[in-house]
Amino acid sequence: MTVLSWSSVVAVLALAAGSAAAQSADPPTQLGALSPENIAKPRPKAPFDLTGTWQHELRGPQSWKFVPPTFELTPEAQVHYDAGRAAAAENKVYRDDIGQCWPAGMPLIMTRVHPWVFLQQPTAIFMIQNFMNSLRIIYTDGRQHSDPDVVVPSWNGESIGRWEGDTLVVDTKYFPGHHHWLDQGGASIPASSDLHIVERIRMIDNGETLEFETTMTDPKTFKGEWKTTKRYNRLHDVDIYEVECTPDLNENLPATSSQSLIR
Amino acid sequence: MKLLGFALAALLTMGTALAHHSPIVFDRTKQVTLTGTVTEFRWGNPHSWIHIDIADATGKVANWSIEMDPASHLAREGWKSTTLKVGDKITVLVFPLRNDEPGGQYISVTLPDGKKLGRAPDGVI
Repeated sequence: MTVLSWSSVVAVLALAAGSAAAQSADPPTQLGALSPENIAKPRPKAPFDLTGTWQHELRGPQSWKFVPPTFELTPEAQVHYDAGRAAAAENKVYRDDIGQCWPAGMPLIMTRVHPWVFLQQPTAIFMIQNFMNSLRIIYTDGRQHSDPDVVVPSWNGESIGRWEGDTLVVDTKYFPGHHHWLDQGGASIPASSDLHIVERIRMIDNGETLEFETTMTDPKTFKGEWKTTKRYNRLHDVDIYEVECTPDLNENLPATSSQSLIR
Repeated sequence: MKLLGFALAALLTMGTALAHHSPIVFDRTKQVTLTGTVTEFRWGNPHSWIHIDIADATGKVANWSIEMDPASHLAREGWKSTTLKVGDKITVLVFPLRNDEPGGQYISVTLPDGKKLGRAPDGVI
């Protein structure tokens, strides 16, 4: 190593040290949800702990849906809806995004026919859906939604929760606006980046049932608001497992590899 | 397990499968019996699968792709990762694809030793 390169290394190290010093001078604006300091902050005791394994309750063939019996779509959403109906009439799948490994996203991830694991801390609730290991986090440490110019949109969105009496109220927004659906399978209704979801969650039945009252608006997709109530039953002897949507999975399954079945 | 068992029973009644894609591609009004030779068996989640060579009446062989439930669910039927190996002669009952391509959704199987596994080995769902 030459003298010149040694001096370069020293210069780089000095810059790095300066940068680290500058960072340590600025305290973080938001403690991480699992920071011991954040968890230890004084807060009212949560009225319930939904830590556990839960299964969406099936109450008939339509019970996984979030679409009301009657609705009015915007012209741009109606195009997809009509195309989905036309595909279904031909026994084909329109825009098989979930089958092709795009995330199901909110709200459909809530009613996949697979268990959820919920892990509650005072600062956040971590939710893992056994359908493709989908991760959803509800922050309950008092933070506000992120700056819209900085946040990275995601299929499960950004969820901020607060306790109101015996109810956890969760506000979720910041969605990608592509490859994301409010309904699929005969009625393909897209979710736009303006989708906004409020859930009111209660624990009932001596801790054996969770009730989610969900209110959705998406003015780029439909008029008014859609409301549904879903229930989840506690599972006592089930664990979730790792699931990955790998390319070789779809290559080896007839339903996802056959191009003639997808419009 | 009682609740999940109930959920599974409800699903089957509703004609819904534990799939990560639309179930519309399979014709659940038809059941096809396939007898042939296993070319691949994959044990996994979210789906296991069997590939099987099936000869038609003229002797022409087609490789069928059979989609199965998650391994974690198949295990409750008695399946293991060692249940099938390449070269095994088996009979599989499936719901066929709607487009007449050689593929289907697993209902039940008869193994080389005559043992049957499946949701309903007699084919009645």
